[in-house]
Order: sequence, then structure tokens, then C-alpha cells
Amino acid sequence: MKPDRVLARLKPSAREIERLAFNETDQARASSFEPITPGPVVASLMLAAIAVAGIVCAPVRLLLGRSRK
Amino acid sequence: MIADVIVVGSGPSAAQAAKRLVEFGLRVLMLDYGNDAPGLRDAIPDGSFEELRRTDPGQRTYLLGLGERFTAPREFVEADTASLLPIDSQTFAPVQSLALGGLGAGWGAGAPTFEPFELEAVGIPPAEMDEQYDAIVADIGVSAACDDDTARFVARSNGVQLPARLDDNARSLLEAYAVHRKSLLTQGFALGRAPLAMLTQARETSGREANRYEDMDFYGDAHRSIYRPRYTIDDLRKNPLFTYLAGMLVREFEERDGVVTVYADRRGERIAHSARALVLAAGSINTARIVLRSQHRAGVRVPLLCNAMSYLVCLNMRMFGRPARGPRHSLAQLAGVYTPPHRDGERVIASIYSYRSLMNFRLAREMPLPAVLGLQAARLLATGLTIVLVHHPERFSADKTLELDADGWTLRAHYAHSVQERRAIDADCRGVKRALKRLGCVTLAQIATRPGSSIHYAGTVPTDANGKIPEHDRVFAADASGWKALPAKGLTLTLMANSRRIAAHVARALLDEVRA
Repeated sequence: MKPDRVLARLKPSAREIERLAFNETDQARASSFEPITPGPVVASLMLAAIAVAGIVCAPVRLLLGRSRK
Repeated sequence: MIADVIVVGSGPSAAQAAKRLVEFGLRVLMLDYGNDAPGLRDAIPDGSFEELRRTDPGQRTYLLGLGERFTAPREFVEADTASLLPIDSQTFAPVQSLALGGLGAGWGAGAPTFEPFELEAVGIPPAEMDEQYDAIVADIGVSAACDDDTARFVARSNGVQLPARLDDNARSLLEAYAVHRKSLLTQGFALGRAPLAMLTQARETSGREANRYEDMDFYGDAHRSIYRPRYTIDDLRKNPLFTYLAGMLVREFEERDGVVTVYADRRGERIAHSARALVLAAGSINTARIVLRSQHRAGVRVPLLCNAMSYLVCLNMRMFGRPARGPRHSLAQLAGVYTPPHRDGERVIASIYSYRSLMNFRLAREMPLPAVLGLQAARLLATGLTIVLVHHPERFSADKTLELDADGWTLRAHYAHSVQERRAIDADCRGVKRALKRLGCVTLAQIATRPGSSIHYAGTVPTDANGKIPEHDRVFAADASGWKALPAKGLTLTLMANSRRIAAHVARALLDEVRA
């Protein structure tokens, strides 16, 4: 499979995004959607950790056939 | 009332043409479809984006929407166009509008002026435009910097208000530019504050207030700080010389014995209105549809101009992981003017936005991550995320055409860039990305948008310099349909100034006729 198709299949499903959008527009949860600003070094480490977690999850998500619908 | 002039449409050029005609004492009838959504727009409570996010239980009604191009309160801009203004194309996806205010109802308020060489290329006499630009700037209110490096390319010095305040992200880019200014100018890249049709000082007489930096500019028109054509139309409606008819889908016209008759559909009924002259300002694509249908020219290809647009998602490393404080607005903060060596003096424009009020879920949707991780990544990137819209100049080519289908209403669009054009667009992007990198802005993704996405269209109905369509004596195009080229700069301010100029020519011709 071509890399761009793999990346497309790894994007969240429509249902996941719908749930996220619903939560994001709930005023009670506003703080969990605000920017995280721990400084550039910690932010880089956090981003790297997210990337690693994404890579670890990727095979399972591909196997489960999670694609954007 | 029997009108002197019928104006078709209610967008920026229609509103300004009508206003100028009324100033000459002519009776004007505006025929418009006139979609609007005042309920949704006006239901947005007063407050900043952050404040409403924390407090408003009704925020879903205006923050969520199905549209890709417009936020929920602005979805009316495109409403009904898929069924009523059909386009058949695999290669071109334009945005059309049947809204009150036309595409101007969703305008991002970028208000650059064209330079004289650009006006000449477009086919507008530069000598006639200074006065018109000044009049439009005074009328709608434009904020701009007159003293930075891009001012000579894009800004007026007469009558503009103080430039909008910059947010932390834009300020840090401008500070970086000051450090690298000399070398960037050598490379042909200048950076400055974006000229905007946004008030930074109140205008009490028109009931418009200064922008409050609430970052809600993509949602509502609270305080009316950003110009919308409907403000001009609302004012005109108080004038007995002006009549506005909504619900009219103009189909065609005919010209006979010094009278132009316009035929429109209103709820399935065919209605005719006559006048001494017709000014078409329905947008370049729809104006072409009306003209081709009226001339029974199905199957004849006419030119189609549209700026190519590239979308750069960038991270400003100077802001990454750092808090952003202070005032914000949602419009373009900065304008980069790039004059690449391969463009023979033509400009490429980079409009620079800070991404804050468009919601994290839209970002998470594009990331190859589970939503929960995508959200955390979006929150980390938020303060440094910078969106750069790069517009490329456009010239005629045989591969970009529009034609009327045999059904007499559907338009077929054929649009393809040549290999040379694609190379030039790639080279433009490389140059802009190089300049952004010098400013500490890393490009995370480059997205080539589909032709038609830029919402800048022109060239579909050749006219003379005064907007007259050669096959007719009393029919004029006041939108960009008569333009012969499309510079990369936002065209709305020039559209308004030029329609004002064309309207003055129409008015003088009609008044001379009466005197004779």
C-alpha cells in the first residue's frame, strides 16, 4: 500500500471526530481543549511521545481497518 | 418604479455600482436572490472566542457546521448554488453565491490594492483608479500600515485607519523579519501587515464599531467592524431612488430599441423588468452564464481565470510550546509579497493567519493518529500554528475555459495548468517556504487546493475598458468578468473601486442621452 494511503487510513474515523467536536463545544470541557504551553523543550518531548504512541497504535488500527468514513 | 439601471447581484461590485448610480441621481433596481441567515448570525452572544468556549451552552449552533469552506453562520453564502447554479466539471470546483452580499458575505476582508502594472494587465486604466480607490477606502473603512515593506505593493496611504493590532504569533514573525530583512528583500520577499477592510476606529455615523479582537470574525458580524456589502445595500434601501428585489434568479436579458429587459425566476414564475441599462455583477461565473444564455451561445468556450492557491501549514518555532497572550482577530495578520525571478515582475502573495478559533477537531481530523492523540498534538501546536495561503498570478490559457451546456443553464468548466504553470507554482511555494524558514517557521504540510478554491474568478466575458459588453449597447459587466488577467492579490477592493468607475461611465452616458 502506498504511504499516503496508509496515512489516510490512520486518520481518525468520522465517528471519532464527531465525538471530539461534540466534546470540544461543551463549555464544561473547554479547559481540556486549550493550548498546552510547557515551553519548547517539554512540548517537543510531548510531541515525540505522541508520535511514538501513534506509531505503536498504527498496526492495530490498520488491522482493525479503521479508516475515515 | 421604472428603473434607469438594473443591477444584477448584491456582492461587493453590485453594491458599489448601485451606490454610485444612485449618487448620480439615477433610479436603480437591484435584482438579487438574497439568501441570508440573520437568525444564526445574530444569535451569537457577545464575547470573545475563549470566553464563549468556556461559558456558552449554545455554542454548537454556530461553532459546528458541515461546510468545508465556511463556518456554520456563513454556510448561507453557498446555499442553493449546487442546484440553481449548476457547474459540470471534473477539474474545477468554484464557490458561487446566491447570498445577500454575494461572496462578500464570507469575505476574509483582505484589501490590497493593485499596482499600476497590474491594473494595466487586467485592462483597467490606472489613471482612473486613484480616485476610486480613495472613495472605496473612505466608504468601507480599511486599516493598513503605510510604513512597512509591503505598503508600496498593497496599501493605500490616503484615508486608511491604523493597522490592526498583531497577535503574539504574527509579532514574533515580524520581529524575525526585521533581523533577516536585508537578505529576504534581496530574495524578493517582503513582509508587512495585511491591509484589511476592518475598522480599527469606530465610525459612529454608520453604526460600525472598531474590531474588539474577540477572534469571532469567521462566525458573526458583531459590531459590524468588518465591511459587508449588505451594509451598503441597507443604506441604499433608505433612498427612494433605490429598489431591492430579493428572491429573483436572473436568467437572461434582451436588448431592443434602447431598452434592456431582464427575465428572472421567482418561485417558478418568470418575471420581466426593463430599464435603460443593465449592469451585471453576479460574479464572473454567473455573469458569464447569463450572458451566454442571452446570446444563445451554448457550446462556445469563453476564457476562465482563477488564481491557483497553495495552502501551507507551518509551525512558528518561536511560539511553539509558549503561551500566546493579548488580542487576536481571525483575519490575515501579515502579508508576504514575493516577487520571484521566474515571474517577470509579477507578485505572489502569502497571506499569513494564526490558527486559533477554528477548533482543534478540524486539526485532529487531518492527523494520522487516534483522535485522542491528535487532539493533544493540536493543543501543543496551537500557539505556533501558522496557516499561509499562497496565491499565484493567473493569465489566460486555452486550457482554462467555460462553456454553456446545451440545456442553456449548466456551465461546463475545463481547467488545467500547463506543465510550465505547475513548475512556476511549485517554484513560488519553494520561495515562500524558504523565506518562512528564515523567519523560524517550519512547513509541516503543503496542500495544493483544487482549482476553483481560491474564490478569485475573472475573465469570462470580454468587455471594453468601461465594462461594456461589445455585442450590446446597454449591457455592462461590473464584476471581474471583463478582466484580462488576475494578479495574485485579493481582488475585492479593486472590484469595488472598478465597479464604481464603470457605474460612473454608465451614469454619464445615460445622463448625456437625456440631455441630447
